[in-house]
Amino acid sequence: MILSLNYHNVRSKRPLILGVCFVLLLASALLALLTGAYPISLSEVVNVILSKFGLSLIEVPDEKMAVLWTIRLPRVLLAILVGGALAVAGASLQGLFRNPLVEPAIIGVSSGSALFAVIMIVFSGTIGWQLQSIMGVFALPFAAFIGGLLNTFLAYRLASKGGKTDISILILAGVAINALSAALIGLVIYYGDDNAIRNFTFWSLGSLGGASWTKLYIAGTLVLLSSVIIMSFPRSLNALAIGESEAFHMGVNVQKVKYVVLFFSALAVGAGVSVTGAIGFVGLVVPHLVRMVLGSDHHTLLPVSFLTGGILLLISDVLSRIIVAPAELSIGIITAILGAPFFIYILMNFKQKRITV
Amino acid sequence: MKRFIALFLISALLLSCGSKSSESTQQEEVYSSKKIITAGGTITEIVFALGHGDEIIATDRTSTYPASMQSLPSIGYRNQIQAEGILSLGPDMILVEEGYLNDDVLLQLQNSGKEVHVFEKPLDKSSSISLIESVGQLFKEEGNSKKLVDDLEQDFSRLEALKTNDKRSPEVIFIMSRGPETVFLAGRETFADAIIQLAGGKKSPVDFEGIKPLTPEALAAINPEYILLFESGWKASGGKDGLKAIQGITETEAWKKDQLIAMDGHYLSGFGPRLGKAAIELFEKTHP
Repeated sequence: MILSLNYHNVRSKRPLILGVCFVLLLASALLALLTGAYPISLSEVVNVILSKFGLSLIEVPDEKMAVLWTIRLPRVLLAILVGGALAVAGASLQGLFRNPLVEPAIIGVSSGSALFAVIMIVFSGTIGWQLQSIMGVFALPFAAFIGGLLNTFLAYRLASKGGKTDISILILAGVAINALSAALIGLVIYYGDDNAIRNFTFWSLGSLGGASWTKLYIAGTLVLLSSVIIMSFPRSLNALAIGESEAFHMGVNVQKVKYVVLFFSALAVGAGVSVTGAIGFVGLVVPHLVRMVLGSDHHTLLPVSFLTGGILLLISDVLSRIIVAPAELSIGIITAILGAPFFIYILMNFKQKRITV
Repeated sequence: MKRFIALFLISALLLSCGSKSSESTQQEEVYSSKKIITAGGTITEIVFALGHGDEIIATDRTSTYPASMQSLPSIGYRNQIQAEGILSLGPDMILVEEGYLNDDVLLQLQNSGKEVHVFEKPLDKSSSISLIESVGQLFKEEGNSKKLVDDLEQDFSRLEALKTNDKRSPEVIFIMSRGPETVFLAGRETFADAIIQLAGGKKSPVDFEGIKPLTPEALAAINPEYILLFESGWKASGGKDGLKAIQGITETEAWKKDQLIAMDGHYLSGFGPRLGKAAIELFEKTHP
């Protein structure tokens, strides 16, 4: 068992901890830029990035430029943003529900987003068209967000009673909601033609293969914005972690914080899912690891979770690209292999002694 | 509240600096030899028929004709194909059948600054002809493409003559078997429905579009006179003995009269320069 440091100790070391995480994130990003079907060396990576700022040292062939700039770089940035957002959404939902087992994929946020994204794509000629004409490129992430929000509130309503959520009911509600969403995704895909819609595997296990600058600007902005907004409520989440009435007496606007966290978690996850499909376990594993090492002060927990989530998804993406190269594994397979045993481990601990968030 | 407004302003700024992708459409006076990668068997066949097969450096798994194409480096099959795999082979020009690649992959290729041309997948005689003509234009081979079109027209005249002499219209269905429990049946708006009708067969008896999984008993209910399969599927199922395991197939007239037809997948579904010949062959098999 790793000893948690106390609040004060961690707070004073926060710049150092964030610095270390940031360096690790950059190292992972570099590793991800160097890996792939097309061999690219470190000096070429550096040169391509420099040349975009007009400082090229050596001539890099156009092909390498294209692969790095139009395929790998957006993919790496998407991995960082989506991984970070999943981890922050997981951490804040765990704080909100005062429950360490809550995770966007487990309670059905991700599958709800995937379902609405699929509906939007398949029926883009009918329902979707009106939304598209109003919202343009934001229609798809918006639809995914609505789906995620719907499932979040459904899970929350089913499991909450008098400001307390029953964990076993919440997990079971998640099971039921996920099963229903998956079934409906399958049903909707049947009506779509193969070209318009990505396959069922994509929506249920995710992939970062479709990353492009356009998608990054659209979904990435929403994902980053939502994560930053959630990260700006550490004090309230600290208070909420003690209890809702306690938080209320400490002067926290409990209802507001609750809705902001639910709303922006759904937006972060939904916008991410609309581009990458549903990726599980990141939001469960990352906040847990961070809490084990650094304790549960949200001032540290949220930003460190964001950086660690980015690292985890980058490493998972690298693995998904090299294990069955030149083909690719769904990234959700990797995150599940890493995350599911961890989930079981938490459950075993949960039986022995009530872990508090 | 101020915090929110500030954040939205920042995000608006971020969005406003989105990059515009530039599509290069090069119009050259004379065609000069290029390193080509093709995705889609029909395009590969046409490029070869126009005399530019030696410029193809890699192709996909559906490009089985001519046989020499199968020894080229493979970029993979449909939605498994990754943009990085294609670009790593260093093509100058990429020719793609519409809908063959994932939209994301196509977008990545187009954004890579390479010359990318997307062609509509032909599903009838007129779209086959326009595909041959537009590939011909790209290679500045109008003479050769005209010859290919003339040959195709001749095949069709022969086919029309055959159909005039024999007005029977048998019920033919196309199936793809993925093991005894899963049979995919071609409905309306598919290559199978199109070529079966060209070859004098009846319109698909089901009222769905595309190729969809079918409950096995439905085979007996449709009771076709002929069952058409791809040779690859025929071999993978283990020939007639293997197909026996498909529920309901033995109840059909096609089975009882031993009227199962296996034809080469690309020949049957490609709708390329050999469309007329494939239709004639299918006509002869279904009009004994």
